[in-house]
Amino acid sequence: MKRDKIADKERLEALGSYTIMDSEEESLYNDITALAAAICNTPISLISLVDDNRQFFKSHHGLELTSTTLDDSFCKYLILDDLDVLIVENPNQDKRFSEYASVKGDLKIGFYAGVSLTNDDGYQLGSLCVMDQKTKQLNELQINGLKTLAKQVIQLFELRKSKKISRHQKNKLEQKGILLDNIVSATGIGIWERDIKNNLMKLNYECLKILGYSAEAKKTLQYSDWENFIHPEDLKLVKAKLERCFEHKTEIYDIKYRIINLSGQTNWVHDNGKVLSWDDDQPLLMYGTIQNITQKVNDDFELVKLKNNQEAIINNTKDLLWSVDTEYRLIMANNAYHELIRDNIGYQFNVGDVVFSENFDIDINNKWKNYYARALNGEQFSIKGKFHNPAKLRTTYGLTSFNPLYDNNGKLLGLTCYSKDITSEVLSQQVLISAKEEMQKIMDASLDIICTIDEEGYFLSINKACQKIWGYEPKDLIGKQYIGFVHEEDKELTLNEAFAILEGEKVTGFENRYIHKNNTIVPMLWSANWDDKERVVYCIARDITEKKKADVQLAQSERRFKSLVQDGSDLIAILNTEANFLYVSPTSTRILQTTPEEYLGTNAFDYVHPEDYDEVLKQFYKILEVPQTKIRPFRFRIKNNQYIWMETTVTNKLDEPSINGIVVNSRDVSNRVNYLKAIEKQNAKLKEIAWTQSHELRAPVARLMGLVNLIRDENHDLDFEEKNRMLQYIIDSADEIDVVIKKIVDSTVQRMNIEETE
Amino acid sequence: MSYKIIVIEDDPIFTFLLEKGLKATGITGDITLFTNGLTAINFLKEDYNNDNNYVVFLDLNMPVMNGWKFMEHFEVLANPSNCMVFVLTSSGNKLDIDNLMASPLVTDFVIKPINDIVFKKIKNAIQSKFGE
Repeated sequence: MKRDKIADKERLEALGSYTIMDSEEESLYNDITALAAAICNTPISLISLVDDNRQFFKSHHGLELTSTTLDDSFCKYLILDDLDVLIVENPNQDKRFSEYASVKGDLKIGFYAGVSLTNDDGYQLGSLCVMDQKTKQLNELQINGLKTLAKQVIQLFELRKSKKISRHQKNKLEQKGILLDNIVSATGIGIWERDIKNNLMKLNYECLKILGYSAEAKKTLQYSDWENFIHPEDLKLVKAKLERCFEHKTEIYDIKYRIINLSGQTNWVHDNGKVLSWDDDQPLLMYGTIQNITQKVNDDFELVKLKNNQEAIINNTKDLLWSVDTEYRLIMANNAYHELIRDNIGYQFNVGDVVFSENFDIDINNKWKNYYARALNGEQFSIKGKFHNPAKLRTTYGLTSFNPLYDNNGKLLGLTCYSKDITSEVLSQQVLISAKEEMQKIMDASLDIICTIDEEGYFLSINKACQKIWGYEPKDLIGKQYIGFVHEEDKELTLNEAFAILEGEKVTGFENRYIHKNNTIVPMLWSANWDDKERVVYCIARDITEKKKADVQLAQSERRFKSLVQDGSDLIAILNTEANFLYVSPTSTRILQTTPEEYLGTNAFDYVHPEDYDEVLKQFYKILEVPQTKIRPFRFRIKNNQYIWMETTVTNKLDEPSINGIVVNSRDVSNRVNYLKAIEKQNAKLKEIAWTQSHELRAPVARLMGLVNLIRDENHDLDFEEKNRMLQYIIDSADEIDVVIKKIVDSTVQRMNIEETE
Repeated sequence: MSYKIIVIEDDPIFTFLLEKGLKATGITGDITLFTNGLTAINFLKEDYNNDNNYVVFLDLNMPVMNGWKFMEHFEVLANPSNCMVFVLTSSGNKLDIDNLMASPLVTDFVIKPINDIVFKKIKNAIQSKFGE
């Protein structure tokens, strides 16, 4: 059966179509094998084509043979086992190859790496391979290099087949160059040629790139310049390795070292070379390749770790990995899957077991059977579902992807399942949803308008506050341009502000007016800032109608206050506790004929009349004990040493931050005091008049009363003469009363008149 | 005990009524009459000695020297132990009397006209000070 693959009629026909078997040696193919050997650092490289009884070497770098029988063929295993790449690191320990003449015999092949030459129709024609006497390992880059070269070989075959090669014979050399350039640039390998005699390094583009040069740079360097790129710590080793080559101690120069490129970056390179020509024992020309392996050096460690841990990862992950065949039998599963099953049904499925159990709920069995059937039908899909683990009392969320599993021939083998634990995503999504809901609640509860506006000024979102403030529902506004709702007179200002916001300025305290749905004007206060990432403006707007009203009232009350202070008849002053003037109202100019400025800094008591000083001082300082006190009228000095009478109310506003002093309201009461003084004087005179009059009038009345008492009293033995005398007294007293009354009337009127004219 | 009665009054009708009243009440003693404070104080400066007792009836409103002026002089020479002054006034005005009442010499105020009840009070006052 295996033999059949080699002898497959269609494959052999495909091979024959290239007429390549037993064709002449061609340098084009030799270049490829030379390059393959250089890339892989092996002495031997072959292009081997396998028919039903032998292998023919179209190119055989480092080996004199042109063909062998299939009995001694490594390459046939690529075809037999349907492989893309075959690497045999120790053929003498591999029972397939250990008896080969090339392994056992003089050739002593210790390493083989071959890449299948597979044409576009999928037929494997042979291989591009490298061989070495000693065992070795190839890195990924080298294998990829081989693969690339193998593709080039197939392309050459295709070209040959379509006879393009013969038609373009003239451009052969040019094509060869392009081809090689393509190969080299595809593999990323730098190629250098060192003229040892003249100390010159000829470099290709890839090589220059490693040094940090641009494509236009010159392609030849002095060797000393080249050495300058080598890391100082590595230079000694490089020199030593080269020396060994030049002294024939080693044929191949192979070293990894560091290059510091023109930008100062340090990169690891893998440098391979070989002396090509000698002048006696002196090396003349050396040829080599150089590769940037920085990534690989960095990756190598990780790769080893990864490889070592691969199994551990598969088995340690919480994610579930398993595959089942077309009969729902388990092919393979990781520990997480086994654990989940075990926790659910008490035992685990072994490979080959049907992955359903009576211990599962029938619905669960049916559900999974349904999924598997879909995958086995060729469908690729993912299901988000809950996994319940009764043992751990835990529910996890998983995103399970189902993929049909095919073998190389496209035959359905079964399906693979990969279930990723997305519990944290689901939970955080739930948190996100509840945060969003909460945000929405806050937005809905906000009395202020909260909205987002895009670059063109369209409302993207807005909360419900707009209904209360502007009369529009959110749906009336979203998708409309905000400027349409702004008061006509404020549009220009608003657009300027919006421009500033889009420039990245954060705006707070911007005021404009919006037009309510009912056409009333709503003054608004805005805060907004531009989110460059989201490309939206976030805005918060407050209805400041009430504040505006309050502002107007405040302005009015300020005006009123001003007019009271400036135009009133009272003098208002603020004093500190030493009674020095801190403030004097402008009314001082009118009331005291002195400007407020002249009083500032002077002491109020300097203006108080000396006779009133003590009393005023006593009354003034009561203010430190009571909130308000009145000072009785006192004399206050104004211009020209004149005094006016002042009546004052003192109010303690020391604790009032806006005043911080003693407020003194004073009024000129000179007129009133003068009237009072005049009245007092008048009263004194009236009293005097009254006294005099009462005295003058009382005297004769008292006499009359005494005389009458005497007459009535019979105890007095009065004689005739005495009686006459008494009668005369009575008459005199009566006359006197008459005179006195007349006098009183006359003098009172007269004296009062005098007072009036005073 | 005996005492001298000094009447300082410019109104002759009052003087007449006072003499009649004193006699009717039984207040006895030599009565010396003066029509103003000056003649009275000049007399007293001569006559006053501690062995005599003096009962003075003093009017306030008088020409030449009024009752207040008289008291200023009399307070200098007289001793409250042997002097009683009854101030006569025709008005009940308190202003007239407050400062005079402060003097230890002044026994009482008597508002004119003097009726017999007042005379009896005056008699009692004299008797309690100077005896029967």
